[in-house]
Amino acid sequence: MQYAQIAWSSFADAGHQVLLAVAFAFTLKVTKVWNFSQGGLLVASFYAMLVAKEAGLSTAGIVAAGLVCGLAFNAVVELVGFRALRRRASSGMTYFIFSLVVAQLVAYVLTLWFGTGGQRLDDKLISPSAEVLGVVVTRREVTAVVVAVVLLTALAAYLRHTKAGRAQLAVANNAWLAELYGLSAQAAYLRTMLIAAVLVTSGVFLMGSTISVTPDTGSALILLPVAATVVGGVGNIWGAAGAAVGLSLLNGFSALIFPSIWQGFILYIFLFLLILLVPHGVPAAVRQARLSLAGGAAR
Amino acid sequence: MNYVLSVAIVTGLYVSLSVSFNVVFGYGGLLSIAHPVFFGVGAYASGILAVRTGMPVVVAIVVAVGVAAVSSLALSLASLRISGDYLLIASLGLMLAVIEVVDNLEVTGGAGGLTAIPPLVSGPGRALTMLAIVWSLALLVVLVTRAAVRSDYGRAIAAMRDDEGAFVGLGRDARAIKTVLFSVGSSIAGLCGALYGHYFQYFSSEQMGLRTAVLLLTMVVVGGAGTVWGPVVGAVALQVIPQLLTFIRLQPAVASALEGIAMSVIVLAFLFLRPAGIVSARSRRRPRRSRPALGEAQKATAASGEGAA
Repeated sequence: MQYAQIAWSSFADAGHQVLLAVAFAFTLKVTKVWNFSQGGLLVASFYAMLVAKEAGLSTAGIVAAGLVCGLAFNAVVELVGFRALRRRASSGMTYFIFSLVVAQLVAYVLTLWFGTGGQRLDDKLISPSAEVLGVVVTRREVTAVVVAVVLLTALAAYLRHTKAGRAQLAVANNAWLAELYGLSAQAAYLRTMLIAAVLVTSGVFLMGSTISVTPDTGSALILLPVAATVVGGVGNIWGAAGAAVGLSLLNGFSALIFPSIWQGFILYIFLFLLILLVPHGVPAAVRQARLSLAGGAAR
Repeated sequence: MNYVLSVAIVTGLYVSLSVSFNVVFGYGGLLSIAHPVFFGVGAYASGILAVRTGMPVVVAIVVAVGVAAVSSLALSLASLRISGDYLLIASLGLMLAVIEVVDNLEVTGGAGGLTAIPPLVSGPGRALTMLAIVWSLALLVVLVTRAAVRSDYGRAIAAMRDDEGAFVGLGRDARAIKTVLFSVGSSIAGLCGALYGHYFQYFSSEQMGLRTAVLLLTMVVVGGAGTVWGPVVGAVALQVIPQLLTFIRLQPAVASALEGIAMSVIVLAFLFLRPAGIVSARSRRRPRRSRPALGEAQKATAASGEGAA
């Protein structure tokens, strides 16, 4: 029963991780930018929600404040930053420096404003719970899973069934060709950043209710979405979602073997080795292995 | 006076460090941000040997430089398999993993840092002697780098950076060059770390983290990547400008945040207004071919065949 409890808690904890990972992977897929400014977006929208909460707004008002801040943040990053860098055909390193420095700038500004102490969106440490088949399930965990599933389903429907969504996928596949067919790559990039802002803000709302956030949290929390994106395979947003769940389960179960102080090390060394061994992700490596096996059998 | 000397010593160390980072990143085109790790490896290796085994400081420093060079193999081997954005992310993972190890081991002093590191030089003229050592090292590093990039080997490095496929196609060994670049850059970083630790007699993982990596990147980008004097100008400017804040009496936390904001704004301004840095590309021996904006990630997307979501 201990394993079932760990599995459920890790799965539910993956709710916000999945949203952050999908936002990161989706941005990378369409814009081709490893957007580390997502760390800045994460803390900026959290503190916007915190201010709204301290102003006495309802839950809807708190979420709305976070969304307005998140959308504005990513719109500015895209329109002022990425668009200018794209115009001058900047290198990947320039995008990296820009996005990292933006995240750091946000952290410094928030430190100046709010200090370095941790804050939470929900003052209640314990959430109402029920026992289901011997596993303790809290209302917060169910909310996290439901919100993640609803938002991912909405994203899948948007990408598959709307003209704008299909245009974004076309731009992701070949921006030059998409523009030749009359699609606006710039509009697709902006829409992608706005959708990412919605996913991140939702993830932050779920996360901010359970863990304490500081202005520095963003740079630490961006690593798991990066790892999930690599594991799932660059360009495969659903792979990133699955990888985020897998990494959360791995994190939960590894606590049975390794002391908790080594959890960070395990994640980071896993990221390093994984990029080294399967840079195009686990699904691509599996496909490659199948092809090799099939080729061997045919010979 | 001691404060001014300390600032001058740290500036000298950062000159060597940023020039060594420029060797890997600017000249070699190897996108690794784990350079501060080797600064830390040098500081910890030398400090631990001197503190725990009583090894003479000079010998400990020499061993630490060797340890930093050997540990750079992790990255140089990685650079043989991956490049561009992937190397960048892998180096980030490696850097954070090393920091986690350092923070959780007893021998390194844990998150509190390694204390009571014996000094390299003692006595009343300690700071001035260290200043002379550090700036002599900086001058040596700059001059050797200048000579190296103008040599046949330097031209080979530039050729590898500009088009590795063609370089290898001509029968040249890119692997050897990458390994040499990483080990030379890391050795210098390790030496700087050891000198830093023995001067301040304290070292913690904070000095080898993401902030130091961003600071180094900033120094090279603001000064001018791929130029001899760019990182020197960047290091001096970005070490001296924040000191102006010390004249305003602020709480340390506020001063630190303001310093961070100032640095970030400077980098952003340079990225957009003068991307080539203070020392412009005119001083380069040959123009660099700009990498396509949609680089490694696009290739990977195309290669993995993940067209549809």
